[in-house]
Amino acid sequence: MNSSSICTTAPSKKERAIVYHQPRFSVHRSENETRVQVELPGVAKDDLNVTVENNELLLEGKVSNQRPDSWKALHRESIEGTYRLRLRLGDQADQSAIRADMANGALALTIPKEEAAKPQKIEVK
Amino acid sequence: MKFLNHRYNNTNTDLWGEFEEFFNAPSNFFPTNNPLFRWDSNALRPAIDYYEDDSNFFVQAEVPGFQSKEIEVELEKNRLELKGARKQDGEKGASEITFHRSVSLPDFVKAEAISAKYENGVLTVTIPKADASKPRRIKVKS
Repeated sequence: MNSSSICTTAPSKKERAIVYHQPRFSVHRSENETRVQVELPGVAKDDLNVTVENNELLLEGKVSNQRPDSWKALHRESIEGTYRLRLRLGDQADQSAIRADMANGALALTIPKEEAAKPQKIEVK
Repeated sequence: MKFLNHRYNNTNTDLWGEFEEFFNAPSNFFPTNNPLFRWDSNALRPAIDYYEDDSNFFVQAEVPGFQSKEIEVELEKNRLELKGARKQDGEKGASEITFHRSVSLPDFVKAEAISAKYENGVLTVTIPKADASKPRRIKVKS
């Protein structure tokens, strides 16, 4: 098993009691970093929380519902509530250097590998 | 993808079902090998909400990760077309992500006054109703 792998962890009992939605996301790995793209339509930057603890990254984004009361719904396909995603980081991840960029309802997480885990070129003398 | 399909395929039950563009649904009228109706078969079909108030219809589509300049909103006769394309880098190099959805509008709208806004990955199209369709109070004389 690749130690830099990323996978979701099951929600705890308490978490299951509240309705969360898992956002769509994709993972791209390269030699030096792992990038995760998460789709969070309707989530404003200020309503998004990303925390890292115990080798787990937790992401929570509330869908802001700023529609006026006068709007009457004729048909709905979008979700209401909170997006939540838990990612287990591999032990090669450099947790202090994780970067999160939110733009237009899409979050880009960049998780670099620790220096020691990056491929190193050894000079031949 | 499974998650996407689960949420996005329920358009036949809506109040506006009859307005929903039939091109989006599998149709018996057109053979599926007709290239005209396959050209964007890889395009995402974003989730759409319809709302109304006294003077407007609103169409909202969830299309995260685009720039507003990468989104097109077109009106063809009474068909509102929502389209977009963007590049994305992936493990297998750059690829293009596109979306397409169309909505048929009722007749009683002010087509020339339609406006669109893109915020937090949600596209909102505001479609003013024609004056005649707004609720009017009729005075009852004695």
